[in-house]
Amino acid sequence: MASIFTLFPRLTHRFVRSRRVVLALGLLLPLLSIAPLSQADDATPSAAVKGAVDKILGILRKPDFNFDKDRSSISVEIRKAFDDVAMAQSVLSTNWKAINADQQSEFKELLSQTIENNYIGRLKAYTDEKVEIRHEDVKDTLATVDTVIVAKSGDVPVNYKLRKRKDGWFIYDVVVENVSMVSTYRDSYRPIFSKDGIDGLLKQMKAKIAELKG
Amino acid sequence: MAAADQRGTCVKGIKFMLKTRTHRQLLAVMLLAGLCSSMTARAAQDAQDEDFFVDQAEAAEVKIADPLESLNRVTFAFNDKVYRYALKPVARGLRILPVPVRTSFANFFSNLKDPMSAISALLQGEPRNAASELGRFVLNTTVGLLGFLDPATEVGLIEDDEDLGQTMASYGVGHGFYLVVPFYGSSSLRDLTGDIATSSLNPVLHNLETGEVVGITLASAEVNLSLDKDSYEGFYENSLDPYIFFRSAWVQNREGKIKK
Repeated sequence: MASIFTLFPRLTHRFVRSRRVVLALGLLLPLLSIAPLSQADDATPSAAVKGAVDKILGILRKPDFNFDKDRSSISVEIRKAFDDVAMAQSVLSTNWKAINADQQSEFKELLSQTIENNYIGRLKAYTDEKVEIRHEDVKDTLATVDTVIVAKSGDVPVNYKLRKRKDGWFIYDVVVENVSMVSTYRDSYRPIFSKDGIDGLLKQMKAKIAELKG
Repeated sequence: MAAADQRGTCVKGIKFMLKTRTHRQLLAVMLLAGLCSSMTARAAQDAQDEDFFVDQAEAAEVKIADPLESLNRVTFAFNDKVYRYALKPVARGLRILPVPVRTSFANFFSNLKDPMSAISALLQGEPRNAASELGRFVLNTTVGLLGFLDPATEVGLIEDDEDLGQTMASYGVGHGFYLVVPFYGSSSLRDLTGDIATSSLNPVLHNLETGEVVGITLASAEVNLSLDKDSYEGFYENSLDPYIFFRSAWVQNREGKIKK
Protein backbone atom coordinates (compact mmCIF):
# COMPACT_ATOMS: atom_id res chain seq x y z
CA MET A 1 0.00 0.00 0.00
CA ALA A 2 2.85 2.36 0.81
CA SER A 3 3.89 2.48 -2.83
CA ILE A 4 0.51 3.79 -3.88
CA PHE A 5 0.72 6.64 -1.36
CA THR A 6 4.18 7.70 -2.51
CA LEU A 7 3.11 7.59 -6.15
CA PHE A 8 0.34 10.10 -5.75
CA PRO A 9 2.15 13.45 -5.61
CA ARG A 10 3.89 12.75 -8.91
CA LEU A 11 0.81 11.45 -10.65
CA THR A 12 -1.35 14.33 -9.59
CA HIS A 13 1.28 16.94 -10.40
CA ARG A 14 1.73 15.73 -13.96
CA PHE A 15 -1.74 15.05 -15.15
CA VAL A 16 -4.15 17.07 -13.14
CA ARG A 17 -4.70 20.79 -13.78
CA SER A 18 -8.37 21.56 -13.41
CA ARG A 19 -11.17 20.61 -11.14
CA ARG A 20 -13.19 19.25 -14.06
CA VAL A 21 -10.50 16.73 -14.95
CA VAL A 22 -10.41 15.72 -11.35
CA LEU A 23 -14.14 15.11 -11.26
CA ALA A 24 -14.23 13.34 -14.60
CA LEU A 25 -11.42 11.05 -13.58
CA GLY A 26 -13.02 10.43 -10.26
CA LEU A 27 -16.29 9.44 -11.89
CA LEU A 28 -14.59 7.25 -14.47
CA LEU A 29 -12.48 5.34 -12.03
CA PRO A 30 -15.17 3.18 -10.50
CA LEU A 31 -16.23 2.26 -14.05
CA LEU A 32 -12.68 1.27 -14.93
CA SER A 33 -12.47 -0.98 -11.96
CA ILE A 34 -15.62 -2.83 -13.04
CA ALA A 35 -14.61 -3.15 -16.69
CA PRO A 36 -12.29 -6.18 -16.36
CA LEU A 37 -15.17 -8.17 -14.84
CA SER A 38 -17.22 -8.04 -18.01
CA GLN A 39 -14.28 -8.77 -20.32
CA ALA A 40 -13.14 -12.02 -21.90
CA ASP A 41 -16.56 -13.58 -22.30
CA ASP A 42 -15.74 -14.56 -25.86
CA ALA A 43 -13.72 -17.65 -24.97
CA THR A 44 -15.90 -20.67 -24.17
CA PRO A 45 -14.79 -23.54 -21.91
CA SER A 46 -14.59 -25.84 -24.94
CA ALA A 47 -12.41 -23.34 -26.78
CA ALA A 48 -10.11 -23.11 -23.77
CA VAL A 49 -9.73 -26.90 -23.57
CA LYS A 50 -9.37 -27.35 -27.31
CA GLY A 51 -6.80 -24.58 -27.56
CA ALA A 52 -4.69 -26.05 -24.79
CA VAL A 53 -4.89 -29.68 -25.94
CA ASP A 54 -4.17 -28.75 -29.56
CA LYS A 55 -1.13 -26.70 -28.59
CA ILE A 56 0.28 -29.39 -26.31
CA LEU A 57 -0.34 -32.20 -28.80
CA GLY A 58 1.16 -29.98 -31.50
CA ILE A 59 4.41 -29.78 -29.57
CA LEU A 60 4.39 -33.51 -28.78
CA ARG A 61 3.84 -34.34 -32.47
CA LYS A 62 6.71 -32.27 -33.79
CA PRO A 63 8.97 -34.51 -35.89
CA ASP A 64 12.04 -33.33 -33.97
CA PHE A 65 10.31 -33.54 -30.61
CA ASN A 66 12.70 -34.02 -27.74
CA PHE A 67 11.20 -34.53 -24.33
CA ASP A 68 13.85 -32.68 -22.35
CA LYS A 69 14.27 -29.89 -24.88
CA ASP A 70 10.56 -29.18 -25.48
CA ARG A 71 9.51 -29.73 -21.95
CA SER A 72 9.51 -26.06 -21.04
CA SER A 73 7.27 -25.05 -23.94
CA ILE A 74 4.73 -27.71 -22.94
CA SER A 75 4.95 -26.51 -19.40
CA VAL A 76 4.17 -22.97 -20.54
CA GLU A 77 1.02 -24.16 -22.35
CA ILE A 78 -0.13 -26.20 -19.37
CA ARG A 79 0.36 -23.28 -17.02
CA LYS A 80 -1.57 -21.01 -19.35
CA ALA A 81 -4.56 -23.33 -19.34
CA PHE A 82 -4.62 -24.59 -15.74
CA ASP A 83 -5.78 -22.69 -12.68
CA ASP A 84 -2.96 -23.46 -10.25
CA VAL A 85 -4.53 -21.70 -7.26
CA ALA A 86 -7.86 -23.49 -7.62
CA MET A 87 -6.06 -26.83 -7.98
CA ALA A 88 -3.90 -26.22 -4.92
CA GLN A 89 -6.91 -25.19 -2.80
CA SER A 90 -8.89 -28.14 -4.04
CA VAL A 91 -6.12 -30.62 -3.34
CA LEU A 92 -5.30 -29.38 0.16
CA SER A 93 -8.97 -28.80 0.98
CA THR A 94 -9.39 -27.61 4.59
CA ASN A 95 -5.63 -27.84 5.19
CA TRP A 96 -5.13 -24.95 2.73
CA LYS A 97 -6.27 -22.50 5.40
CA ALA A 98 -4.02 -24.04 8.02
CA ILE A 99 -0.77 -23.08 6.25
CA ASN A 100 0.82 -19.67 5.69
CA ALA A 101 1.09 -17.70 2.45
CA ASP A 102 4.69 -18.82 1.73
CA GLN A 103 3.78 -22.44 2.20
CA GLN A 104 0.71 -21.94 0.04
CA SER A 105 2.72 -20.55 -2.84
CA GLU A 106 5.40 -23.21 -2.52
CA PHE A 107 2.78 -25.94 -2.49
CA LYS A 108 1.07 -24.37 -5.48
CA GLU A 109 4.33 -24.40 -7.45
CA LEU A 110 5.27 -27.98 -6.52
CA LEU A 111 1.77 -29.22 -7.31
CA SER A 112 1.92 -27.56 -10.74
CA GLN A 113 5.20 -29.34 -11.46
CA THR A 114 3.81 -32.65 -10.23
CA ILE A 115 0.69 -32.34 -12.35
CA GLU A 116 2.77 -31.35 -15.35
CA ASN A 117 4.89 -34.49 -14.97
CA ASN A 118 1.81 -36.64 -14.78
CA TYR A 119 -0.16 -34.93 -17.53
CA ILE A 120 2.74 -34.80 -19.98
CA GLY A 121 3.61 -38.42 -19.25
CA ARG A 122 0.09 -39.59 -19.96
CA LEU A 123 -0.47 -37.39 -22.98
CA LYS A 124 2.79 -38.59 -24.52
CA ALA A 125 1.19 -42.01 -25.00
CA TYR A 126 -1.59 -40.55 -27.09
CA THR A 127 0.21 -38.39 -29.65
CA ASP A 128 -1.07 -40.43 -32.59
CA GLU A 129 -4.67 -40.18 -31.56
CA LYS A 130 -7.32 -37.56 -32.12
CA VAL A 131 -8.99 -35.63 -29.33
CA GLU A 132 -12.64 -34.77 -29.86
CA ILE A 133 -14.79 -32.42 -27.82
CA ARG A 134 -18.08 -34.17 -27.14
CA HIS A 135 -20.05 -32.10 -24.68
CA GLU A 136 -19.95 -28.85 -22.77
CA ASP A 137 -21.92 -28.09 -19.64
CA VAL A 138 -21.77 -24.59 -18.18
CA LYS A 139 -23.25 -23.67 -14.82
CA ASP A 140 -22.61 -20.03 -13.99
CA THR A 141 -18.83 -19.75 -13.45
CA LEU A 142 -18.15 -23.50 -13.57
CA ALA A 143 -18.06 -25.78 -16.56
CA THR A 144 -17.36 -29.35 -17.59
CA VAL A 145 -15.98 -30.19 -21.02
CA ASP A 146 -16.18 -33.84 -22.03
CA THR A 147 -13.57 -34.96 -24.51
CA VAL A 148 -12.70 -38.34 -25.96
CA ILE A 149 -9.29 -39.55 -27.06
CA VAL A 150 -10.23 -41.57 -30.11
CA ALA A 151 -7.74 -44.43 -30.06
CA LYS A 152 -7.53 -47.57 -32.14
CA SER A 153 -7.51 -49.59 -28.95
CA GLY A 154 -10.72 -47.96 -27.71
CA ASP A 155 -11.96 -44.52 -26.77
CA VAL A 156 -10.70 -42.90 -23.60
CA PRO A 157 -13.08 -40.38 -22.07
CA VAL A 158 -11.29 -37.38 -20.54
CA ASN A 159 -13.40 -34.73 -18.85
CA TYR A 160 -12.10 -31.31 -17.91
CA LYS A 161 -13.50 -29.15 -15.13
CA LEU A 162 -13.11 -25.43 -15.57
CA ARG A 163 -13.86 -22.26 -13.70
CA LYS A 164 -14.31 -18.83 -15.11
CA ARG A 165 -12.05 -16.04 -13.99
CA LYS A 166 -11.93 -12.46 -15.21
CA ASP A 167 -9.33 -13.45 -17.79
CA GLY A 168 -11.15 -16.46 -19.21
CA TRP A 169 -11.84 -20.12 -18.48
CA PHE A 170 -9.23 -22.21 -16.67
CA ILE A 171 -8.95 -25.95 -16.04
CA TYR A 172 -8.85 -27.00 -12.40
CA ASP A 173 -9.40 -30.75 -12.71
CA VAL A 174 -9.04 -33.57 -15.22
CA VAL A 175 -11.27 -36.62 -14.84
CA VAL A 176 -10.29 -39.83 -16.67
CA GLU A 177 -12.60 -42.85 -16.41
CA ASN A 178 -14.35 -41.31 -13.38
CA VAL A 179 -11.03 -40.72 -11.64
CA SER A 180 -10.44 -37.09 -10.72
CA MET A 181 -6.84 -35.95 -10.71
CA VAL A 182 -7.48 -33.46 -7.91
CA SER A 183 -9.34 -35.98 -5.70
CA THR A 184 -6.61 -38.56 -6.14
CA TYR A 185 -3.91 -36.09 -5.12
CA ARG A 186 -6.05 -34.96 -2.20
CA ASP A 187 -6.43 -38.54 -0.95
CA SER A 188 -2.72 -39.19 -1.47
CA TYR A 189 -1.50 -36.07 0.33
CA ARG A 190 -3.90 -36.09 3.26
CA PRO A 191 -2.19 -38.89 5.23
CA ILE A 192 1.23 -37.33 4.58
CA PHE A 193 -0.02 -33.94 5.76
CA SER A 194 -1.49 -35.46 8.93
CA LYS A 195 1.67 -37.38 9.71
CA ASP A 196 4.50 -35.07 8.63
CA GLY A 197 2.77 -31.69 8.35
CA ILE A 198 3.08 -29.28 5.45
CA ASP A 199 6.89 -29.22 5.67
CA GLY A 200 7.08 -32.98 5.35
CA LEU A 201 4.70 -32.93 2.41
CA LEU A 202 6.64 -30.18 0.60
CA LYS A 203 9.89 -32.06 1.19
CA GLN A 204 8.50 -35.29 -0.24
CA MET A 205 7.04 -33.50 -3.26
CA LYS A 206 10.40 -31.85 -3.95
CA ALA A 207 12.21 -35.19 -3.62
CA LYS A 208 9.78 -36.84 -6.08
CA ILE A 209 10.19 -34.06 -8.64
CA ALA A 210 13.98 -34.30 -8.35
CA GLU A 211 13.81 -38.09 -8.70
CA LEU A 212 11.73 -37.86 -11.90
CA LYS A 213 14.17 -35.36 -13.37
CA GLY A 214 16.73 -38.07 -12.69
CA MET B 1 -9.31 -12.16 6.12
CA ALA B 2 -7.17 -10.56 3.43
CA ALA B 3 -10.20 -8.58 2.26
CA ALA B 4 -10.81 -7.17 5.75
CA ASP B 5 -7.15 -6.15 6.13
CA GLN B 6 -7.16 -4.34 2.83
CA ARG B 7 -10.43 -2.62 3.57
CA GLY B 8 -8.96 -1.37 6.86
CA THR B 9 -5.84 0.02 5.17
CA CYS B 10 -7.92 1.67 2.47
CA VAL B 11 -10.25 3.38 4.91
CA LYS B 12 -7.26 4.72 6.87
CA GLY B 13 -5.72 6.02 3.65
CA ILE B 14 -8.89 7.78 2.55
CA LYS B 15 -9.38 9.36 5.98
CA PHE B 16 -5.79 10.65 5.92
CA MET B 17 -6.28 12.19 2.49
CA LEU B 18 -9.54 13.86 3.48
CA LYS B 19 -7.81 15.84 6.24
CA THR B 20 -6.05 18.04 3.64
CA ARG B 21 -8.51 19.07 0.97
CA THR B 22 -6.90 20.50 -2.17
CA HIS B 23 -7.79 19.60 -5.75
CA ARG B 24 -4.87 17.28 -6.03
CA GLN B 25 -5.76 15.43 -2.97
CA LEU B 26 -9.37 15.20 -4.05
CA LEU B 27 -8.20 13.23 -7.07
CA ALA B 28 -5.97 11.18 -4.86
CA VAL B 29 -8.95 10.30 -2.70
CA MET B 30 -10.99 9.29 -5.69
CA LEU B 31 -8.15 7.33 -7.24
CA LEU B 32 -7.56 5.60 -3.99
CA ALA B 33 -11.26 4.91 -3.54
CA GLY B 34 -11.43 3.43 -7.02
CA LEU B 35 -8.36 1.27 -6.49
CA CYS B 36 -9.54 0.19 -3.10
CA SER B 37 -12.98 -0.81 -4.29
CA SER B 38 -11.52 -2.97 -7.03
CA MET B 39 -8.86 -4.41 -4.75
CA THR B 40 -11.21 -5.32 -1.95
CA ALA B 41 -13.64 -6.75 -4.49
CA ARG B 42 -10.80 -8.86 -5.89
CA ALA B 43 -9.71 -9.99 -2.43
CA ALA B 44 -13.29 -10.76 -1.46
CA GLN B 45 -13.70 -12.75 -4.68
CA ASP B 46 -10.51 -14.68 -3.95
CA ALA B 47 -11.66 -15.46 -0.43
CA GLN B 48 -14.99 -16.62 -1.78
CA ASP B 49 -13.29 -18.81 -4.40
CA GLU B 50 -11.09 -20.29 -1.72
CA ASP B 51 -14.13 -21.25 0.32
CA PHE B 52 -15.79 -22.61 -2.77
CA PHE B 53 -12.89 -24.86 -3.71
CA VAL B 54 -12.30 -26.00 -0.15
CA ASP B 55 -16.02 -26.77 0.28
CA GLN B 56 -16.25 -28.48 -3.05
CA ALA B 57 -13.19 -30.54 -2.23
CA GLU B 58 -14.83 -31.73 0.96
CA ALA B 59 -18.08 -32.55 -0.77
CA ALA B 60 -16.29 -34.57 -3.43
CA GLU B 61 -14.50 -36.78 -0.93
CA VAL B 62 -14.99 -40.49 -1.52
CA LYS B 63 -13.90 -42.59 1.39
CA ILE B 64 -13.45 -46.26 2.00
CA ALA B 65 -12.68 -48.07 5.24
CA ASP B 66 -9.33 -49.78 5.16
CA PRO B 67 -8.89 -51.70 8.43
CA LEU B 68 -6.59 -54.20 6.74
CA GLU B 69 -4.25 -51.52 5.37
CA SER B 70 -1.03 -53.15 6.61
CA LEU B 71 -1.96 -56.49 5.05
CA ASN B 72 -3.28 -54.80 1.90
CA ARG B 73 0.01 -52.94 1.49
CA VAL B 74 1.90 -56.25 1.57
CA THR B 75 -0.46 -57.72 -1.04
CA PHE B 76 -0.16 -54.55 -3.12
CA ALA B 77 3.63 -54.87 -3.15
CA PHE B 78 3.28 -58.56 -4.08
CA ASN B 79 0.86 -57.78 -6.92
CA ASP B 80 3.21 -55.07 -8.14
CA LYS B 81 5.93 -57.73 -8.57
CA VAL B 82 3.51 -60.14 -10.26
CA TYR B 83 2.50 -57.32 -12.60
CA ARG B 84 6.03 -56.22 -13.45
CA TYR B 85 7.68 -59.61 -13.75
CA ALA B 86 4.89 -61.87 -15.03
CA LEU B 87 1.83 -60.09 -16.44
CA LYS B 88 3.53 -57.16 -18.13
CA PRO B 89 6.25 -59.08 -20.02
CA VAL B 90 3.57 -61.30 -21.54
CA ALA B 91 1.47 -58.27 -22.46
CA ARG B 92 4.54 -56.64 -24.01
CA GLY B 93 5.11 -59.81 -26.02
CA LEU B 94 1.53 -59.65 -27.27
CA ARG B 95 2.27 -56.25 -28.74
CA ILE B 96 3.88 -57.91 -31.76
CA LEU B 97 0.29 -58.62 -32.82
CA PRO B 98 -1.31 -55.68 -34.66
CA VAL B 99 -3.68 -53.51 -32.63
CA PRO B 100 -6.83 -54.54 -34.59
CA VAL B 101 -6.14 -58.20 -33.79
CA ARG B 102 -5.75 -57.49 -30.10
CA THR B 103 -8.81 -55.25 -30.11
CA SER B 104 -10.79 -58.14 -31.61
CA PHE B 105 -9.70 -60.43 -28.82
CA ALA B 106 -10.57 -57.75 -26.27
CA ASN B 107 -14.02 -57.54 -27.88
CA PHE B 108 -14.39 -61.32 -27.69
CA PHE B 109 -13.62 -61.42 -23.96
CA SER B 110 -15.77 -58.40 -23.30
CA ASN B 111 -18.67 -60.03 -25.13
CA LEU B 112 -18.55 -62.97 -22.71
CA LYS B 113 -19.38 -60.57 -19.91
CA ASP B 114 -22.40 -58.96 -21.55
CA PRO B 115 -25.02 -61.53 -20.44
CA MET B 116 -24.11 -60.96 -16.77
CA SER B 117 -24.04 -57.25 -17.41
CA ALA B 118 -27.62 -57.54 -18.67
CA ILE B 119 -28.70 -59.58 -15.63
CA SER B 120 -26.99 -57.12 -13.25
CA ALA B 121 -28.75 -54.20 -14.95
CA LEU B 122 -32.10 -55.99 -14.77
CA LEU B 123 -31.63 -56.64 -11.05
CA GLN B 124 -30.90 -52.94 -10.61
CA GLY B 125 -34.27 -52.10 -12.13
CA GLU B 126 -32.75 -50.81 -15.36
CA PRO B 127 -34.63 -52.81 -18.03
CA ARG B 128 -33.45 -50.52 -20.84
CA ASN B 129 -29.77 -51.09 -20.07
CA ALA B 130 -30.49 -54.80 -19.63
CA ALA B 131 -32.14 -54.97 -23.05
CA SER B 132 -29.27 -53.04 -24.59
CA GLU B 133 -26.66 -55.38 -23.10
CA LEU B 134 -28.64 -58.44 -24.20
CA GLY B 135 -29.00 -56.93 -27.66
CA ARG B 136 -25.25 -56.37 -27.75
CA PHE B 137 -24.58 -59.99 -26.84
CA VAL B 138 -26.97 -61.39 -29.46
CA LEU B 139 -25.79 -59.07 -32.24
CA ASN B 140 -22.08 -59.37 -31.51
CA THR B 141 -22.18 -63.15 -31.06
CA THR B 142 -23.93 -63.66 -34.41
CA VAL B 143 -23.19 -60.81 -36.81
CA GLY B 144 -20.04 -59.97 -34.88
CA LEU B 145 -18.66 -63.50 -35.33
CA LEU B 146 -18.63 -64.77 -31.75
CA GLY B 147 -17.93 -61.29 -30.47
CA PHE B 148 -14.65 -60.61 -32.25
CA LEU B 149 -16.32 -57.68 -33.96
CA ASP B 150 -18.46 -55.07 -32.26
CA PRO B 151 -21.29 -54.10 -34.66
CA ALA B 152 -23.50 -53.36 -31.64
CA THR B 153 -21.58 -50.18 -30.79
CA GLU B 154 -21.94 -49.06 -34.39
CA VAL B 155 -25.72 -49.34 -34.25
CA GLY B 156 -25.77 -47.35 -31.01
CA LEU B 157 -25.82 -50.10 -28.38
CA ILE B 158 -23.03 -48.64 -26.26
CA GLU B 159 -21.43 -50.96 -23.74
CA ASP B 160 -22.50 -50.30 -20.17
CA ASP B 161 -20.34 -52.34 -17.85
CA GLU B 162 -22.53 -53.70 -15.05
CA ASP B 163 -21.77 -56.34 -12.44
CA LEU B 164 -23.37 -57.73 -9.30
CA GLY B 165 -21.20 -55.50 -7.09
CA GLN B 166 -22.88 -52.50 -8.70
CA THR B 167 -26.26 -54.22 -8.27
CA MET B 168 -25.61 -54.60 -4.55
CA ALA B 169 -24.53 -50.96 -4.37
CA SER B 170 -27.81 -49.94 -6.00
CA TYR B 171 -29.61 -51.62 -3.07
CA GLY B 172 -27.56 -49.56 -0.64
CA VAL B 173 -24.88 -52.12 0.20
CA GLY B 174 -21.62 -50.32 1.03
CA HIS B 175 -18.11 -51.42 0.17
CA GLY B 176 -17.61 -52.93 3.60
CA PHE B 177 -13.88 -52.37 3.44
CA TYR B 178 -11.05 -52.16 0.94
CA LEU B 179 -9.29 -55.35 -0.07
CA VAL B 180 -6.26 -55.95 -2.23
CA VAL B 181 -6.63 -59.49 -3.55
CA PRO B 182 -3.49 -61.43 -4.54
CA PHE B 183 -3.14 -61.72 -8.34
CA TYR B 184 -6.43 -59.84 -8.73
CA GLY B 185 -5.92 -56.34 -7.41
CA SER B 186 -8.16 -53.71 -5.83
CA SER B 187 -11.56 -54.72 -4.58
CA SER B 188 -13.79 -54.48 -1.54
CA LEU B 189 -15.73 -57.00 0.47
CA ARG B 190 -18.84 -56.13 -1.56
CA ASP B 191 -17.21 -56.06 -4.96
CA LEU B 192 -15.15 -59.22 -4.48
CA THR B 193 -18.33 -61.07 -3.48
CA GLY B 194 -20.03 -59.50 -6.49
CA ASP B 195 -17.24 -60.49 -8.87
CA ILE B 196 -17.17 -64.09 -7.68
CA ALA B 197 -20.95 -64.32 -8.09
CA THR B 198 -20.83 -62.54 -11.46
CA SER B 199 -18.37 -64.96 -12.96
CA SER B 200 -19.79 -68.15 -11.40
CA LEU B 201 -23.37 -67.32 -12.43
CA ASN B 202 -22.37 -66.34 -15.98
CA PRO B 203 -24.38 -68.65 -18.29
CA VAL B 204 -21.71 -68.42 -20.99
CA LEU B 205 -19.00 -69.78 -18.69
CA HIS B 206 -21.34 -72.24 -16.98
CA ASN B 207 -20.02 -75.48 -18.49
CA LEU B 208 -16.37 -74.59 -18.06
CA GLU B 209 -13.96 -75.85 -15.42
CA THR B 210 -12.63 -73.37 -12.85
CA GLY B 211 -9.20 -73.60 -14.48
CA GLU B 212 -10.68 -72.63 -17.82
CA VAL B 213 -12.48 -69.63 -16.33
CA VAL B 214 -9.20 -68.51 -14.73
CA GLY B 215 -7.48 -68.97 -18.09
CA ILE B 216 -10.06 -66.81 -19.86
CA THR B 217 -9.79 -64.14 -17.16
CA LEU B 218 -6.01 -64.13 -17.45
CA ALA B 219 -6.02 -64.01 -21.25
CA SER B 220 -8.52 -61.16 -21.15
CA ALA B 221 -6.34 -59.26 -18.70
CA GLU B 222 -3.23 -59.75 -20.85
CA VAL B 223 -4.93 -58.53 -24.01
CA ASN B 224 -6.27 -55.44 -22.27
CA LEU B 225 -2.89 -54.81 -20.69
CA SER B 226 -1.20 -54.98 -24.08
CA LEU B 227 -3.59 -52.28 -25.33
CA ASP B 228 -3.09 -50.08 -22.26
CA LYS B 229 -0.51 -47.31 -22.56
CA ASP B 230 1.55 -48.22 -19.49
CA SER B 231 -0.74 -46.15 -17.29
CA TYR B 232 0.02 -48.20 -14.18
CA GLU B 233 3.75 -47.55 -14.45
CA GLY B 234 3.13 -43.88 -15.20
CA PHE B 235 0.96 -43.26 -12.17
CA TYR B 236 3.10 -45.47 -9.96
CA GLU B 237 6.31 -43.57 -10.57
CA ASN B 238 4.63 -40.17 -10.26
CA SER B 239 3.00 -40.98 -6.96
CA LEU B 240 4.28 -40.20 -3.46
CA ASP B 241 2.36 -43.18 -2.11
CA PRO B 242 1.22 -45.51 -4.92
CA TYR B 243 -0.86 -47.62 -2.54
CA ILE B 244 -3.09 -44.66 -1.58
CA PHE B 245 -3.10 -43.37 -5.14
CA PHE B 246 -4.48 -46.60 -6.61
CA ARG B 247 -6.90 -47.10 -3.74
CA SER B 248 -8.34 -43.64 -4.33
CA ALA B 249 -8.48 -44.13 -8.11
CA TRP B 250 -10.17 -47.52 -7.74
CA VAL B 251 -12.84 -46.19 -5.35
CA GLN B 252 -13.59 -43.22 -7.63
CA ASN B 253 -13.82 -45.44 -10.69
CA ARG B 254 -16.29 -47.74 -8.93
CA GLU B 255 -18.37 -44.81 -7.62
CA GLY B 256 -18.56 -43.43 -11.14
CA LYS B 257 -19.77 -46.76 -12.54
CA ILE B 258 -22.37 -47.12 -9.80
CA LYS B 259 -23.78 -43.65 -10.47
CA LYS B 260 -24.22 -44.39 -14.17
